[in-house]
Amino acid sequence: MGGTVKSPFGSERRRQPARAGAQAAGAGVGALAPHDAVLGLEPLDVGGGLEPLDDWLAAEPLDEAAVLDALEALLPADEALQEIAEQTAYGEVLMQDLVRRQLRLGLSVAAVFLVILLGLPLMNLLFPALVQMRLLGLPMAWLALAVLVYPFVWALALYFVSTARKYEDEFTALVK
Amino acid sequence: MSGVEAVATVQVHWVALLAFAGIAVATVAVGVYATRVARTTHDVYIASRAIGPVLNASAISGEYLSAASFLGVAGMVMAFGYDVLWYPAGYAAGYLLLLLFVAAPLRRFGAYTIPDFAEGRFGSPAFRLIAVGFVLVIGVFYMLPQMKGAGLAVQAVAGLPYWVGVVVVGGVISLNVALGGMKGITFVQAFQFWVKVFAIAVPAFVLLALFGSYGTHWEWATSSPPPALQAAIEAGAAPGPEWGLPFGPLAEQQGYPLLFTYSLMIATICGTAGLPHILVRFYTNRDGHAARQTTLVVLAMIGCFYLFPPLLGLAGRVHAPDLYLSGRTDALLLELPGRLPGAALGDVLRAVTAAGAFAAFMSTTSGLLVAVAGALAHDLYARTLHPRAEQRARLLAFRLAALGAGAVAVAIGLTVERFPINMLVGWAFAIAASAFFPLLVLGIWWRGLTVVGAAAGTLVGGGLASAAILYTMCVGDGTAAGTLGSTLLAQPAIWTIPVSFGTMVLGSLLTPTRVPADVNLKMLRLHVPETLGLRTEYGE
Repeated sequence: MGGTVKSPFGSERRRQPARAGAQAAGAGVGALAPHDAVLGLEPLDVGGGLEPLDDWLAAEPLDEAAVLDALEALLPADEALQEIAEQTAYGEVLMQDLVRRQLRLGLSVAAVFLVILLGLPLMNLLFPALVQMRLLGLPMAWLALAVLVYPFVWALALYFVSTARKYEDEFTALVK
Repeated sequence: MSGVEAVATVQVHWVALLAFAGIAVATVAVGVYATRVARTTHDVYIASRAIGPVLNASAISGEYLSAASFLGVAGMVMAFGYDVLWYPAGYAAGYLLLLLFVAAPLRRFGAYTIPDFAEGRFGSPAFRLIAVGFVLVIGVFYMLPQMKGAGLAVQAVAGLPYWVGVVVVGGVISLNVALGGMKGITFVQAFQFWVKVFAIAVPAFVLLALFGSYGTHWEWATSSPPPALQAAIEAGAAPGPEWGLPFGPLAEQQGYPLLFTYSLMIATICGTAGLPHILVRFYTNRDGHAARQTTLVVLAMIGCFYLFPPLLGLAGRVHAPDLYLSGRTDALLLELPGRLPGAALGDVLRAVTAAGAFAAFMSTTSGLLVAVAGALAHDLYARTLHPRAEQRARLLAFRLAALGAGAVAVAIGLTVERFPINMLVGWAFAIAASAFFPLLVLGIWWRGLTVVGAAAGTLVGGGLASAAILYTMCVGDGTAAGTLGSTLLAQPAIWTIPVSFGTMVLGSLLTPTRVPADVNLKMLRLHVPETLGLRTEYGE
């Protein structure tokens, strides 16, 4: 989501409060994050709003203004939320923030994984004596690739799933 | 497997044959039972999204662990040693990349198939057809080794000709898919996953209990070989102690072992996230978070599974070195039980591994058939040819496509007896990694991707990978030449994936006006968590 979002109401007026709002909200993340409470929440009941939304989503390509309207439509009819919904660019900024955080998280985990996994053949090439040393009766090179790689990958995956979920819960809590 | 026809004295292993029949009957029974639940096209394709993470993960793992994983990895470890360990590690680690960049957004986008994603993300029906083409290529490539596994297993267990296994197994699977669709397949595959885990773990534990620890087997396989193995090594049929070292017999076939190893890893790691029959299963998750949880469970399941094939390959080298001489290492798991002391134990274990092998090629072929039939019926028929087709007509199209694709797989499967199982599978991964992995990653995370760039990258990457592989298969005999060129053609992923990514980025930067006007909306659909109450069911 580029910074060139054009709100139907004029970008000048809209962008200012959006940034301020995002900062304020960001500051509150730590305090907010009632992880379990969010996890326990039922999906929002948007009632009759759901089908029109689907129709709308299936419609022809839309401009950004309509996208911002869509974010508004997503928000529940809560008094406090109504205010946020009116600042359409605010939701936009939050969304952009969420995507960036998720991508950064994914890239970090992938980097850890790739450095270690691509490092293995290099270790094998550069330190053949070292990787043939025995551990639990097996050479370390064999132990690493035939056994340890699986729990290692799983641990990375577990970290990613819980952190990604945390980011989404924070996002949901902010928008709500 | 040229040596096999010569073995006219293969005896019929009745217990194992019974296990075969039992798995086949159970498979059909579960499928038929599930048919009662599968009513609409929606149900058949995605099982109403009513499937929990553990059941879904069992099904994905069941679908994923093919003849290549069940028979091929152990056999290849026995044949080539350490370097083969990259195959299962890459097969498993592919799910990590799938999890990091694809699983949750793809589920949230709500498309049934990769072609759905291609069109839905860019609003281009033409792009859908390109994607359909590669789904079919990958599906066929991947079905061939399964057919070979079927022929091989029936041969080893019943002494019947190769073609009997291909035709019978292909027929049973196609019928089952046509009747039950994905709902039946979900339960069938979950069931078959557990059959496979059991079938690979039990022989491993029996071996360890009978003969000695993992480390003891390692000593026998490398530094202190038993007489039969020593004889096979001296006869030149089995590799020597270099078997257990990196850059051993497998990589040595290529002139550039490190390059070959890296290319292989990249193909298997990126390929998983581009396999159409695996991705189609992510739509059966309740929501994006459930898709992630499912992937996590899958990683645990296949991680446990892959602990066993290397151990069994090691044991095969020690206890069944005669397979080196007959060149039948691919059938190791079916042959190993016969080498154990005690005829009854051997019979029972052979029945167990035969059941596992049957479940392996059955479940993967089923998943591939669903993906291929889905591409034909859903993407080609319902989306392109007959957009106004009724529910009933679509369902009929799916069933006919499943039967037709099954017939094609059987027909081609009859001709691939001469190719090693893992060779074909590795190539299917390379094509998937080059055609679909860049499309998914950039399509999900980069709003600047245009339809021109995406289509060009898919065509160039997938096309180059397919061409390199076809060249190696038909013209180049790349395994023996050992030049830089032949190494790069024999496992092209290391250059075709970057070329695909590069083409997509370059093509998109050159056509900035073709960024979809509704790209923000697409990004919302890909990334907004369901807890906000947004529900979109694209495609219906």
